[in-house]
Amino acid sequence: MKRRKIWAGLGTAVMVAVPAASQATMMDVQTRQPGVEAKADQALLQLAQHQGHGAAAPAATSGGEGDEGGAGGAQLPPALHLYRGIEMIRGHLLVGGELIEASRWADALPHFLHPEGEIYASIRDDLKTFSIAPFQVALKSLSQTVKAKNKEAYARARAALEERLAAAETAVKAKEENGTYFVLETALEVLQQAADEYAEAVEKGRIANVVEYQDARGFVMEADRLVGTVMPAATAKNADAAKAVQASLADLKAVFPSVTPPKQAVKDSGDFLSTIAKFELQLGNLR
Amino acid sequence: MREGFARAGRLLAGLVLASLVSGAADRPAPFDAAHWRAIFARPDHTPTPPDNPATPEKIALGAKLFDDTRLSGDGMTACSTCHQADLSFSDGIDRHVGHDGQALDRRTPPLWNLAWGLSFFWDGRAPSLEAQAMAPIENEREMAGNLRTALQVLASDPQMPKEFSAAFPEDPAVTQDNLAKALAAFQRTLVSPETRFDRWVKGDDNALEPDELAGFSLFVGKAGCVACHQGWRFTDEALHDIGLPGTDKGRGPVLGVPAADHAFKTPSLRERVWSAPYMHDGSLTTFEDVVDHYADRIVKRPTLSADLPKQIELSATERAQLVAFLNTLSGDDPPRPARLPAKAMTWGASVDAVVASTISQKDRRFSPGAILMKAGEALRILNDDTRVHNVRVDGPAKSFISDAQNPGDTVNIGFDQPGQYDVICGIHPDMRLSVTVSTARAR
Repeated sequence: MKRRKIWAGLGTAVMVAVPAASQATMMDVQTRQPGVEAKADQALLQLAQHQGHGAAAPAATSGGEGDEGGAGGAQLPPALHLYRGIEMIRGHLLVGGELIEASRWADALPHFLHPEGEIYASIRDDLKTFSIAPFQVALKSLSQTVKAKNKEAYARARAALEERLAAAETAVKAKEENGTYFVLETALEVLQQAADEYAEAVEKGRIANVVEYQDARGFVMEADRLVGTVMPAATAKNADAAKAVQASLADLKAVFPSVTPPKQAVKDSGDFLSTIAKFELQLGNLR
Repeated sequence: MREGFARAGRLLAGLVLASLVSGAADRPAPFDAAHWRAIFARPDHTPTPPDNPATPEKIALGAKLFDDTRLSGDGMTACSTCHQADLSFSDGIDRHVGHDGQALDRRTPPLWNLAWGLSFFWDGRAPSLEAQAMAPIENEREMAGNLRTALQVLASDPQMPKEFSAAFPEDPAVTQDNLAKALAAFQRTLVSPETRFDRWVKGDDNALEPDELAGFSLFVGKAGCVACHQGWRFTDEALHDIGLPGTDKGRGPVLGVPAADHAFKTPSLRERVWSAPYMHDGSLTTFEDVVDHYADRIVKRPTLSADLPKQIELSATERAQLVAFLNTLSGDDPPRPARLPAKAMTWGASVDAVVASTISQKDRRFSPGAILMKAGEALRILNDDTRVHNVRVDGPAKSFISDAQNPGDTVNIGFDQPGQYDVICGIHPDMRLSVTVSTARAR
């Protein structure tokens, strides 16, 4: 069952098919923020509805399993949509790399196939918009090295792809006036995709779908890395908000103790989403 | 066999070079889709040499031997260790680490479409796939094997002699000759599959996106890539110095001709999406790097190929279009060999041979391509081309190697004994001249 968040308005995010208790928890979190108060009259509504960057991106191609590149980001402004895609690819690479380090090539393969199969098509037009050279070939080449279980070739192809991703990242960030906030809202988008993946992974308190669990882990870890790159700037803007963001991320990372999932889920998907909502609520203070 | 390939090569080269002469290289010409569709049409069969016809049993044996680590010195390395099927029969790295722990001198080449090859290895030093197949086995840095020992090991395997017998009923033995033939027969089945470009060639105008078609137009026009990347395999089989930095002399030492220093075989462009990195040294990571090399980074030196465009000015859009086109030469999915019927090349040697004593080399072609002479006569080969050539006769009855034959130079070769001689260019192996020398009475 595919669950999608429905953003109903300021500070009220509900998720279809989420247990009532979790919804209650989530709403409670969003209406009782400890620490820093959200600046409710500022960016939250825009952020929740993804309308803060001018024209929306073209309708994304529907993805396959997980629909990572598809409807989840279809209405985002092009820059945010593209950066989200880049970061999701990196999330896949991150968790795939962990599996390769453990010599689990077969387990790693889906995480190298998904970027090309599910994400790339959705950002192809964005790449043109920002005059970024296509890198589908690099994705294909990398996934083949994983299929071939060739570590040397993998390392080379991975480095080549990361170079392309870095160039794309530089291009997409170049026109953003508020780079720190742009990074943070991108991280939020990636976390929301992680929530989708995690919801797919958890069933009756257990991790029923390992690949989706690993997808969510990759996205969370990558979002954490990404946020870390702007943390000094965020702290300079609002130290308490930055600290709260880090706390949310720490809470999310604890859901994924290892690349191999625990027998019992650390959080249910509602709690997971609630933690992301905490993260989101701080962003208005870091704009 | 050699004559058959030679004629096929001459035909192809003639078609392509005629097209270049007609205008693509030096002046803007309207893109003629019908013309290029004919030039780049795929063949309908795989050529096999008459002395090594393809049979299912031989191909199956070759495939098995390709994966057999017993051919190596350490018992751990097979042909497929470097030529991995999942990586377009290459290995995905710039240079494989050899037995001595050091990177090999050159990149593992992909193996697609070698059935049409005229010479093998990056420096073209092997004249046939059969000859090529044996060299890495005994190369101490590659497989570090010993053929005699390996053949003994194979012969002592209860199954292998049966499989050799099935593959070679006329010579049912585990021999080096049969080992080479089986490996070569298998490699000739590695035909790259059809891609979107091939669908365009067949007439599907919608198979290529506008940018991809624009890239193809640049490829055969302004960018001049087609000067070397010719025909459906996108290679002229020649050896060129394309101005990559490095000290590897390539073809030069093989021929003993310094003018051929730094020259390496033109690689096919088929299925290259799956076989990065690129060039003989694996030094270029992406198609973009390759295009940038030709546009901006060529190392100027006297041995540079005359077929390189003097200067290419390509905008960012044009570079992207070229890259987009190059992508269409690979399948959207990892390639699997296409099934193509094999056909022995048995064309006659002198069907169109004419009496002549002077040969032109204009446009990278011996003309006429087959001649009749009398014993005691001398053959005069004039380089009226714009490129450096290297005339060679390799055979039991005569051996001759010219030095670098610069434009304007003439090479004279005397033929004292009746017989059949193949004259080739050591730098452009698709240049083939058949010389039939007879006695006065026979003529």
